[in-house]
Amino acid sequence: MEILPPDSSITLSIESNLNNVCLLGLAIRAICSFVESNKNDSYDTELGIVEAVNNVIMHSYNSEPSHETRINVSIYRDKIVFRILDTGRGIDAETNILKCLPVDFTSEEIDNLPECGMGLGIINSVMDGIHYEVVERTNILTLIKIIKKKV
Amino acid sequence: MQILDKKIGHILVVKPLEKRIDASVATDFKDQMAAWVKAGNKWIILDLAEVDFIDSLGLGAIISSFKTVRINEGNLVICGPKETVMKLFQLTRMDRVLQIFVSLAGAVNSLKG
Repeated sequence: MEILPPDSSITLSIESNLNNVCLLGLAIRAICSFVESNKNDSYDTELGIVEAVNNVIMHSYNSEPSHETRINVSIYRDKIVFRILDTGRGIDAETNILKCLPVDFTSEEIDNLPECGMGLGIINSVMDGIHYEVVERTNILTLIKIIKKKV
Repeated sequence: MQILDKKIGHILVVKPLEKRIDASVATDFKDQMAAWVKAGNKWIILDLAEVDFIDSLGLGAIISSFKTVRINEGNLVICGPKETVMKLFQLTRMDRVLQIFVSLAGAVNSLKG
């Protein structure tokens, strides 16, 4: 995807426990606040990464503890690239990673209101690029956020 | 999860004191809300003034609570969401389903009578 070395890069690692995702989110927010032009963009990015890592813990690792998820954050002039790496069962082949958020509900149809399954849709809504691959039994979800210039 | 609750007449005001309603607390939150509904509370205001981050699991817990209250012929409304939280409601179109008020007073007025 990118052919230039990143300007700067850091790799974060958390154990597969949903209680740890908060700390990751705060770290991502801090990095993004430094790079991105407004608070809303930082929130969007934090949300996208949190959703992705939640999915890794709950689905790829089946909520089993003691598994590692690594999040590599690479900052370029015009974008931030996040690579989320895990060694769990990965995303099912049938799953559409470009899934959109559900829209087929109304305030009158209470039963149809979604209580789960919104993670991928949110990721696609808040991030500017998404790519998934498996390399040597490591699942790599790449999420891209374009940096909006400060006005 | 730390949640403050108080009654204003027949209305239960529930105010999470956590900054985040996320995967780590979603189940506890949902269970607590279910307990309040089971105790007979039908008119509930969820005051999100202290919350600055909700993920999809936290939102799912809120939706589940809303459904439970509505099945019991009551209503759950939201007040005081921060800009970031409001954005999640808008992104997921839940702002078209949940009544959301800027202030607690507005939320109370909507559930009176």
